[in-house]
Amino acid sequence: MYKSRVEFNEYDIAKYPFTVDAIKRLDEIGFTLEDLESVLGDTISERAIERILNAIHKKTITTDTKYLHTDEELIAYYVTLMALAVLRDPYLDRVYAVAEAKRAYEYLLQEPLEKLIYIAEKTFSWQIRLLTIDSTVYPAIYFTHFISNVPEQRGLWKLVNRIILNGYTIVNKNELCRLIESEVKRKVLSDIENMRNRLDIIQTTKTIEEIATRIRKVWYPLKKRAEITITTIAGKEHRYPPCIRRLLKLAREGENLSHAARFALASFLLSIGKSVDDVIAIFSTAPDFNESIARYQVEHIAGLRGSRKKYLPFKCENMRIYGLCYPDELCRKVKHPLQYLRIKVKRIE
Amino acid sequence: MNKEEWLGRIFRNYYMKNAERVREPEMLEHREFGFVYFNRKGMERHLSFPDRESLIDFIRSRYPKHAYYSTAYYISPGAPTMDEKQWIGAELVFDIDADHIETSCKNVHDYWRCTKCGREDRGPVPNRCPNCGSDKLNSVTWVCHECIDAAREECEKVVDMLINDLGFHQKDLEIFFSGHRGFHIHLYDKRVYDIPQEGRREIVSYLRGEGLDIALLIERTLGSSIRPLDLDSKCWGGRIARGMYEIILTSTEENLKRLGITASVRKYILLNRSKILENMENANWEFLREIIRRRGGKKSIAKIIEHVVNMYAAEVDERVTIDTRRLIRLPGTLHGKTGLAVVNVDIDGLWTFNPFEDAIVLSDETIEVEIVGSIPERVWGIKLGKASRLKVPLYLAIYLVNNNVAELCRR
Repeated sequence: MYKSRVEFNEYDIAKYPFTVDAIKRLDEIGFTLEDLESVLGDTISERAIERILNAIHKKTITTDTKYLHTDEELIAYYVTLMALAVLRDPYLDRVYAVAEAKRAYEYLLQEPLEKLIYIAEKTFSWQIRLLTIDSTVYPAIYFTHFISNVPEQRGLWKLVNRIILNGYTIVNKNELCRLIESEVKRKVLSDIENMRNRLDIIQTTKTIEEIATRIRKVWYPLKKRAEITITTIAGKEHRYPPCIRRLLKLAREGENLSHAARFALASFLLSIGKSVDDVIAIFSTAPDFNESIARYQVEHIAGLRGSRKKYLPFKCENMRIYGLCYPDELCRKVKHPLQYLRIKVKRIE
Repeated sequence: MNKEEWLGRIFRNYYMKNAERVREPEMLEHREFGFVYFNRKGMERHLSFPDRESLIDFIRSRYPKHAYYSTAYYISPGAPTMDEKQWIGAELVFDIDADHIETSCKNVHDYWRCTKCGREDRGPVPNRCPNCGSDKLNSVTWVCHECIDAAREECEKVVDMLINDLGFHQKDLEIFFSGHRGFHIHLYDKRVYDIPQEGRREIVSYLRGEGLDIALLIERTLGSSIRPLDLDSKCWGGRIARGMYEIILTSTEENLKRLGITASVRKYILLNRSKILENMENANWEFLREIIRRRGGKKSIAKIIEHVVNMYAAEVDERVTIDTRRLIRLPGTLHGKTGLAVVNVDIDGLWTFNPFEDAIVLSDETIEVEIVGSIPERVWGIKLGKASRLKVPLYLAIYLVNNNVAELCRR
């Protein structure tokens, strides 16, 4: 809609390296991974490392203005994604994507509306209309983009509280920035994933491996510490959320739990570091207990079988839908059973 | 011949002669299929077919008791795990089931008994026994015209909101009778295919009017240039405005009291009724300030709005819509419990559709059954009487036998 009037220059490309314009520029530069091994490579890999470390320590990515008009910033972004692809750590992927999106958000807030719309339409294929109400022009986005990107589901972020015209909902500039931020996060995650899927075809280079090694050194101890906190309290059942305490009690009493209930319980216990055997032991009192079936299913949830994907426990909303939610006071503050546990532990600390 | 074998023969016969009724989904080769068979427990999933012909051949040779396809389409739909299937997208589906809607007919035709304490009662089947708390309940439930009408109403609300609020086109929508107690609404608009679970939940939430922030609604109506409350609006703000208009238009001391409106607000509304209505017509909502100023004013407005929301909210099963890997009944196939077919219902003909005529596809030849349980006076509009042996059409015999209240008489 604004396409013809919006100027998207090299500064914009450095600020928004995930856009289609940026990819086009990257093609024009013709940078290859071999170039990374040259002299230029050092600056770029340092910047790639800095980006990830920023994400880990600052939860956003700070940009030295000296980079803002160089293609190096753009190249560094793609080298960063490559390093993350090699690292194969979904947790770190998320940390990075959130930081990258946060960075974009900060920049977007400074932009004119036209540029926001330009990015949303061109890079994310959003459907946007301009609506005039009382002679003021408002941007309105198709509701599917809205619901796929809201940061939380209450107040004005709920569709039911918005004005919708034929599927389009009016948004203000801040809202638009926040919605694009979520879209950027998903885009970064999917870009990393796509790169990872192509790793068999593309040869990674020594430099990429070196970046990955340096990140591992910093990241692993931090990640480990987070995991230990949760595991150490795994034995303290009275800190579990009430839904899980109830399921545990029922399971121990030999009650025949529904499939959803078993999944909820097993995935929760595995998430806080219980072993597959511990979990199976809990189900062993079930009336239809069959060890080989139970083992298969628990190992599946633990990510040891099938898709090798470790399943996270249901969040509160899903627990509610399956009729498994029995909230207490603290539950009002949480959206996920694991969050409940974290709050309890924090209080003790 | 046991019950399952008998039913299996009838189903096989149907599929041999009526395979053309089975309607495959678009992009058939990207869909997963699942079937439940006679005389076998569980569902066979992860099946895929390259074309219609092979699907029909399969159905003919296996004559499933229940047939389903995935609302999602995958790169490899036949792969055993979700990751290997590679999800591409999914239709948006809404399930409306009379089971989840309060209807008075359930008190007439539904019945349950607790296997633990023996407590029994007529009416909707509770999740747990109110006496001992056990969830092991045996139940016999039936579907009647009243059930279907209740589901129809919800269906109509959903279609209205999808088209008028959310901007979808009628041509991209299809309604199917589920073969039992309700309807499935399928939305094929490409814009919804990649909506994640969260987004789908939000759509359901919208249809159900959940999370409406009344304080915010009033605040914005009174204090901004874009007012959500508007009689002409085609979203919740409009629905609430029109609902309030109707309540005030037809208000009496009695019914305002019943809604929980305070005396002071009742008095104000009844004395100023025509002025308020006129203001509403002119998009002037300043009278809300007058109401808020009165005793219990804010609460009274909230009560009116809550009442309106309940009136317009659509009852859809959230689980079905948010599940992007769901299997749903394949149109043209038979429902294993009722023997009724899953049939397309014309959106404009929703109220003239009669499942107990239009979805009956099995033979009406008379057969004799022995009644072994308690049966309602009428089933699907057919009067059954009190005899211990009944002569009924074959299609009805299937339903009675499946509901364990009748057995086939040996011939």
